[in-house]
Amino acid sequence: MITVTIYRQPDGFISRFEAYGHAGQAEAGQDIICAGVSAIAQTVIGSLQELASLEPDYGLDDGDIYCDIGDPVKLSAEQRVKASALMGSMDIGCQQISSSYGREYVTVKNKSYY
Amino acid sequence: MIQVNLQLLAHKKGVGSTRNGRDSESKRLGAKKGDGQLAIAGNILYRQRGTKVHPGNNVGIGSDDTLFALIDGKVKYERLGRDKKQVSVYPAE
Repeated sequence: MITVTIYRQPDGFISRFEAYGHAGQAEAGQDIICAGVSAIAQTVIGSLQELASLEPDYGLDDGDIYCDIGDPVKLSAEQRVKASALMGSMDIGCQQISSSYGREYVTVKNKSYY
Repeated sequence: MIQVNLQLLAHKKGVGSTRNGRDSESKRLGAKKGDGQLAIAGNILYRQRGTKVHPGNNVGIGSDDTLFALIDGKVKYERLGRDKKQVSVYPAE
């Protein structure tokens, strides 16, 4: 099962996410759940770089993807709007997969930083 | 653009999914110069995927996030903010 953890700032801004574990829906190469979550996560990371001109701290390891924007205070107003939408899409996208295919494959957790 | 792998979160045959399943790739990734070691300009200090360690003073970052010395000097690994690390090079006294 993939555990997606969404880290929210006090004002609700998502500044970090982690996707940990293996979907277990099929073997590597055929696992569509893994492909879905991996695609969403890596699209958000690439988009933060290309569309919001940010350099998030991220990691792409076997069974472990994370992305951390850091303290949002440093962001410009425009960057904040873009980053909020992109990181929000990670949350929504994973929730949709979880509700469509089952929590035994993907579980989304929310954590508050403070 | 990042290099995308759509099966990062897929179960590899015969590979367990416990939290301890990872092992550092010291052969290829990781520190190439330790804290306190001398480095010359251009020396690779740290190979990584993403920015687990950030570039500090007198350190450059390559397109594959490799960190390298910009000057000759002594390598110093330092804290960056609350939970991050950076590596710097200071001229040797």
